[in-house]
Amino acid sequence: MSAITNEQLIDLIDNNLSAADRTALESVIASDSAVRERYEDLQFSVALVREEAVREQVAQVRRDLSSGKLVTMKPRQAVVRPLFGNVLKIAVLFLVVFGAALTYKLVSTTGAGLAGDHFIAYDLNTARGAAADESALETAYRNKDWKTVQSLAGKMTDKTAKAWFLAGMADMELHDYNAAVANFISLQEQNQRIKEPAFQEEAEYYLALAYLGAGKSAKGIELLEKIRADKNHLFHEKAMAVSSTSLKVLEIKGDK
Amino acid sequence: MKAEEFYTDEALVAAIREGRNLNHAISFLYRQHSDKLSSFLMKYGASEEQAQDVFQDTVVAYIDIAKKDSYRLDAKIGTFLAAIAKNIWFNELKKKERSTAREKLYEKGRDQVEEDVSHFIQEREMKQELHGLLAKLDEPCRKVLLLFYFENLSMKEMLEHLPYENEQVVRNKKYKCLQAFTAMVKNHPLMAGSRNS
Repeated sequence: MSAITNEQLIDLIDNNLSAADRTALESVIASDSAVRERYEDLQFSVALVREEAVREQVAQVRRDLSSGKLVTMKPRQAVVRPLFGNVLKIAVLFLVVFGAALTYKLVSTTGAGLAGDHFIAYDLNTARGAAADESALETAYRNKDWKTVQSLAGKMTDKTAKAWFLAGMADMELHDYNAAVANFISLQEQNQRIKEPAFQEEAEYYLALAYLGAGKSAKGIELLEKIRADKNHLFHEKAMAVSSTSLKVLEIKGDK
Repeated sequence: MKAEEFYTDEALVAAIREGRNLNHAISFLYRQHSDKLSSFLMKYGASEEQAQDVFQDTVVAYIDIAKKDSYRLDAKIGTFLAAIAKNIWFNELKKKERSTAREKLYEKGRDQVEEDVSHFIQEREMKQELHGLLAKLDEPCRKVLLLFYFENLSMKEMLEHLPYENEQVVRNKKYKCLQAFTAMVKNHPLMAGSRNS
């Protein structure tokens, strides 16, 4: 391996290297004391940054507690209560309320509802140099003329990733979830054939919603779980915002 | 006011490791252990203010330790915190050469948890000395490093908080900032001393 740069060492710390690069770099670190020293210095700095942030956060909590912004509470202690009396009534009431809430949740949670709740409209950036038919597509998209977007995209013989994506998004806007699924899958297939995939993470998130909307809960949940497991995914936070309980309810209800 | 959360020891460690609602976890540590440990430290000569300062350092140290893979919940968190607090306070006393026969007796009679903790504490004593160095870094750099290494934001998310054009600019800035901060740390007299010794 040629001279190791600090940027490479930082990438190693940040877990941004491929497995092969990582192994090669770790072997250099193990054998070259000068590189190892630089690596340890950078690691120590990162640890210091994290500790300083924690220190400030702890100090803030201490200030908040002493100024009364946070409720102070003594450690929990066991409380002795009469075993019978109102306990049974409360338990029955709880069961009734819980049962009603559960029934409501089962009835009210639908894939289309979740897809609608977590759908975020996609604003198109202004780009120059697009092909003529794509410009028309973009113009229609910007004008929120979803039907025209669908129609123009349908007529395009050689669709770009952006065209597939915009077509899928127009389908989502029109709640035509089956069509959205087809367009996002086509985009993913196209991405597999090209060197620089585009709209890949966007397509994953919206495809998950489209699956839910189309009543294909199992596939939607599987895709959402994948995004939730990947902290670096562009839509990680959005996927985390989807209620686990609602997903569980959809899972129980099964695919349509 | 926010509802208070109650954590089991396992849940608290998990919350700290994931950085999830860290404020709640810190607040919980304070509510559960601050009074008891402060009283204990005051028995060993700490003033109320000193006891609170030591407890604050204890919480910072505990969070640091709990994040390590090597940390196992062999002892209850309360026991662990007490051991950290004792270590920090007696190290303070040592520095001030105020160690009395009672503290020396404690040093001899340390149990296993306290021995384990003392290993962790030695490691972070140096970090304690370097406390405040990050504040000397220029604000944009400080922000970039905190957003990435503490808030765990992606480059794309960082763009929303920073006045930079694109992710590559943020990435380059982060490289430069971490190197600048590392140079500051290395040039600190304490670090220069440790390299020479």
